[in-house]
Amino acid sequence: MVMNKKEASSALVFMGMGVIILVALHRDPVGTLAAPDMAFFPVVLSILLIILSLILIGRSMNETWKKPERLLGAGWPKLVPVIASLIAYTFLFEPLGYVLCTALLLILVGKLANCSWKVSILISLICTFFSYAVFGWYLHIPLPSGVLPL
Amino acid sequence: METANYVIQGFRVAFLPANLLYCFLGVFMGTVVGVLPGLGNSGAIAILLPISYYFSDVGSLMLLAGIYYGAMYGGSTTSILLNIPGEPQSMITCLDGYEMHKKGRGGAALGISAFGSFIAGTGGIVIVTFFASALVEWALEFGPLEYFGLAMLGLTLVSFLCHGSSLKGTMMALFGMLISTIGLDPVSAKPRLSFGTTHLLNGIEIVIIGMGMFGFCEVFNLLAETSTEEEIIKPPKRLLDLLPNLQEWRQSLGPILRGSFIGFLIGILPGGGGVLASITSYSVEKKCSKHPERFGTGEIAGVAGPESANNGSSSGAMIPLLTLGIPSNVNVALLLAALMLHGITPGPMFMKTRPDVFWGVIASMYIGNVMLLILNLPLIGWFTKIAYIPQSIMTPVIAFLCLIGVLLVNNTPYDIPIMLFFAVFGYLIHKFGYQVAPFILGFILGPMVETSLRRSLIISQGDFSIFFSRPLPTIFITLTFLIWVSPLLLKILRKGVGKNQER
Repeated sequence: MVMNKKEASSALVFMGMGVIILVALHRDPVGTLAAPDMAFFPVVLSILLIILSLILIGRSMNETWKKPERLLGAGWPKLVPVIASLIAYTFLFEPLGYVLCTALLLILVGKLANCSWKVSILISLICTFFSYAVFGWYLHIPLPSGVLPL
Repeated sequence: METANYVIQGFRVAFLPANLLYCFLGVFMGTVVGVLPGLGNSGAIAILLPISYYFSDVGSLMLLAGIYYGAMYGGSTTSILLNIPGEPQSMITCLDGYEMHKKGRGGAALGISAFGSFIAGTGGIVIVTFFASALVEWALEFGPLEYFGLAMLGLTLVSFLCHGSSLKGTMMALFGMLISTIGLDPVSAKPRLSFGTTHLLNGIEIVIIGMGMFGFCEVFNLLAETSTEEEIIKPPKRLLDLLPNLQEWRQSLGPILRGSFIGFLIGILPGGGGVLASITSYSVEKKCSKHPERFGTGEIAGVAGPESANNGSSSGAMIPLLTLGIPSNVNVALLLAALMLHGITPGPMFMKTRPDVFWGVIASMYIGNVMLLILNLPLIGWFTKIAYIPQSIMTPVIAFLCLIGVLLVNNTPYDIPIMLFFAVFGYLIHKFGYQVAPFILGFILGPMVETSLRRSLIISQGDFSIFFSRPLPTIFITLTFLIWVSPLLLKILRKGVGKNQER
């Protein structure tokens, strides 16, 4: 029997999420059909999600794997630095400030999108300073200035 | 008479200078977004949602609705001139529109597409105007049973109508509803699924989900697909006469009217969006035509029908949103989110409590359609140039708009990991062949389904026959059940036919 790995792995992810939610809800009251409590609806949904995932896994076992292909496509390694820098952005936002963090992130995205250094820096500076002027100075939305004397 | 007074009030609101500006900005941005192959209208609406919080309630809705129906106009421009659909609903226009352009009738294709869009869009709004009041009166009788039945039917239709597997669609709808349960329980107000963090106590905002799954996910798609060499597409040298000739008008009138009607009906249907409307209209035109073999070789009916249908669908989609508070597609779900951001709950009472917003938005759609016709005829050449903006420049700009948008929602950087989660989730589900629409609708309708289900069960003491105690919920649930068993029934029927033929 040949398994369609793409279908099966996606079904496993959904099943995993269903299980995580069921575990997270294990202390919350489910109630009864006549008096459903707070965990009733999410528990029913999680069980249905797990059942459907199992059906999808069962279906994927009957399919033939036509040709080996990459699950995520060829360009996915480019996403890793963006994901890592977005996580870093969250924690460096207060200490480094909005302008510096955003400018650095946009330069990185620009470079990964094949922009030249000049264009990447120009786009990031225009976007960052324009938004800080509008939201920070004009609309008085508290965006942290961080290390820069703004 | 009451409707006429309301419509006059709506036009008074829509003609206020600030609102005219919002309407213009909306349709202008919609046209630009429609022309740009990278960014979709859902992405643009999601990105602008948090910024729209700073505008007036009626103004922000005019702006976002303008993007929604404006993109339907803009999408055809690049389909006809460059064979690149700016929006998924314009894919079908490429078939005959680009062929017409190659034959030197690109101008007529653009013209008929703009006129057809105008007729369908405006005609749809006329129907919304005259039927909205009647529908609201009818919707006022809706209780938890009706809402539960309607939401179940809507979610089932969305899962089955979106292309791809209906099983996957249902899984996405279930997961969307599960995500909507994060936060405080709507009945007991106790925290649920907050995973020990205070950031999730109020649940997850649709704006952040939209920004992740449409906005930042687009950044991921652009980055993963960026080629080292930018594709250079030569612009058309000269746009010939934009006005279709008499024969082309004659050939297009029927398709425009049929497309408008089909689009409007599909727009009302949950799960029916512009894509389904344009594909259905194209098939109908091909079936109605005396020369179906000409379709795909530059037949004007293949442009007029689908382009009218996708605009008709955007008007039709306003009916369930404004009268019942139920979105029929992703874009409308984002408009619902915009209303909720301003503390407005759309539904039967919306027309009574906020007639200025309700009728103001409807009136703005008349004005917006006229603006679009004016924008889309003489400025087509200018809009086409927007399609040449390199993706390498668009990518950091979209990333920036998403970042600032998420920061503006709650003014905290801790929403960024949530957006990131949904961006990665959106990217992965696309790669694995799942659809976003059932997830978003599941998320939006989840609280309504939960509240109405729990209320009904409490009233009936756990007896499920309560859902068959009134005619409307009975119809909705029976239809839902029939849709569910339809693949099985079809299989049995086909087997039966096969056996009979063998005999």
